[in-house]
Amino acid sequence: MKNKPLLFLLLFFWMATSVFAQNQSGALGELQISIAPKFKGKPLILGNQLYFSETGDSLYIDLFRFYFSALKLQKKDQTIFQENESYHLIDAEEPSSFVLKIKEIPAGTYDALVFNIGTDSLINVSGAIGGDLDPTKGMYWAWNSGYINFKIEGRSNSCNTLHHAFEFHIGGYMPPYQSVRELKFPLREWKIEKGKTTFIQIEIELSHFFSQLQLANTNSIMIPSKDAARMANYFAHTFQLKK
Amino acid sequence: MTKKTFFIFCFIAFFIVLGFTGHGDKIEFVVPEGWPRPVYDFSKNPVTPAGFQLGRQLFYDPLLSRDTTISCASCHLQATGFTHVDHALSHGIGGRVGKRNAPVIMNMAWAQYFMWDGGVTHLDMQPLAPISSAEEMDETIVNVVKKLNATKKYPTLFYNAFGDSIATGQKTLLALSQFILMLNSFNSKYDKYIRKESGGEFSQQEINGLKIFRQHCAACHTEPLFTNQGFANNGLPIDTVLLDDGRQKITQNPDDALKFKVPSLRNIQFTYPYMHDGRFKKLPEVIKHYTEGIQKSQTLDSRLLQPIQLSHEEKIDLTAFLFTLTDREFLFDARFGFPRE
Repeated sequence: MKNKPLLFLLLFFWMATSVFAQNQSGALGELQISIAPKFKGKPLILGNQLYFSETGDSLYIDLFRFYFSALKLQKKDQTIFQENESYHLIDAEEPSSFVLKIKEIPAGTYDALVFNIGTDSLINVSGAIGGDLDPTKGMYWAWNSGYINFKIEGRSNSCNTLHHAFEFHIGGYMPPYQSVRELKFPLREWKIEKGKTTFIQIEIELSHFFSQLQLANTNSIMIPSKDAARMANYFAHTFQLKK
Repeated sequence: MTKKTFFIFCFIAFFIVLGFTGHGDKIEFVVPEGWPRPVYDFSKNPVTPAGFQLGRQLFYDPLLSRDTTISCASCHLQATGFTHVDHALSHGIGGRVGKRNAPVIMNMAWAQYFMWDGGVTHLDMQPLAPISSAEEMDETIVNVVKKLNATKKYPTLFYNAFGDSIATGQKTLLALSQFILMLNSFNSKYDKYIRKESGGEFSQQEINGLKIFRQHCAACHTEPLFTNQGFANNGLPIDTVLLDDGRQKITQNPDDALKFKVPSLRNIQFTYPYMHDGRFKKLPEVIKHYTEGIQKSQTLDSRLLQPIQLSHEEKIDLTAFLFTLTDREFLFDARFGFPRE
């Protein structure tokens, strides 16, 4: 065949350009997310800080923990960057858990930040997992399998319970009472740049959670249920994106 | 000794040693012929001899309980199919009595749900339930891991199993799974009968019994595992003290009231007492329940609406067949026993 050399030449060009294209998309940047739990605009203090809810409860918060997972960045053309093994336990007692560093993100303009509060159903049936999902983290139910998506514990004089305690352990991955919530925040002209770190802050305004309930009536939810799913909705509304 | 004969000697000695270590101690998961695919995902936790041995040590170690008095084996004894023989309700720490009969542990790689109410959905996570139950071990996995890391023995065992001497919750659970996954019963007389092997010759009584079994029982106690892995209300009157509504507690669905997991009938000869609360001590009582004792309720399994009618001879034949499910090779397999060092 006469055209054989030409064919090889074309093949060479095609390979060369595809390698070049790969290099281009190989430009990577970093994202640093800082998570700021607050109560009425001020950083959350565990233990002896007295708080007042919109619904008239006075309360102390002793424990606040949740899973932040399945982090995604979405482009206008719907292409998605997804963090690998994206499960982070955020614990108000461990300030180091407030900072998430996500590396090797393709540079470019993104127009939405998407993540889950809680854990997806797949991970709930995947057996023993390590790291932030290790069952020693105190976020796993033994008698009714599954991860606890978030825990909020504290005290309030409104609660007619032992030591006036309130406890919300919210989880459940099976229908109809799934309690994982996906949040999507639009971004504008927001870029990950090659070799640079982009910063973003997520605020959690816990007063919004307590403004939805009366601690006298609602103070202990510890099983997957309709009420747990409702609490998950309230909790989802406490998240705000600050750039 | 010349160099050559020395090498030949070493060569032969090597194979002799290899032969000894290999024989009878082999740890390898096999799917018995004609059985379904296991539910357990072995790619995430491949069974290794070192992982199995670590799991075995943990299974027999009372360190897992708060006051070091109760091990898994306290309520799950090998010779009775890893259940608590003669105890309707098992007692755990400080003699506290639980709510349910300790279930058997065998052929767990094929199970989708665990506990009588199916509250646990993965084998790896199952040990967390007895460890943390106040009536059983009354301990936390956090503390178990702390105690393991403080021993002399375990760091080496963890290193051998996972290449890291530090115990974690994950690795503790994975090792227990590796041991439990090997506890498989598939060498009963029944199995040999099905495989047409010697030792599997059924008497006329046993053949009749199998026929009766397939007609009346096999819909739920399906071969070869002798469970369909489902949940059912088998018409037991509710115990007025325990008031146990079974699976409803997990699903919050009234359609699941009084339903419990269908247990395997393998080794049933030795797994007495029977039912979720161990209310029947002997097999004839169980058969009598199904022929005369079914209590109707909203969620009663539809297959039990019509009473099962069996003659006296048929009951005896059925019992004879059930005894063919006894697997002595499994019940006395030295690999699964208390680890003697």
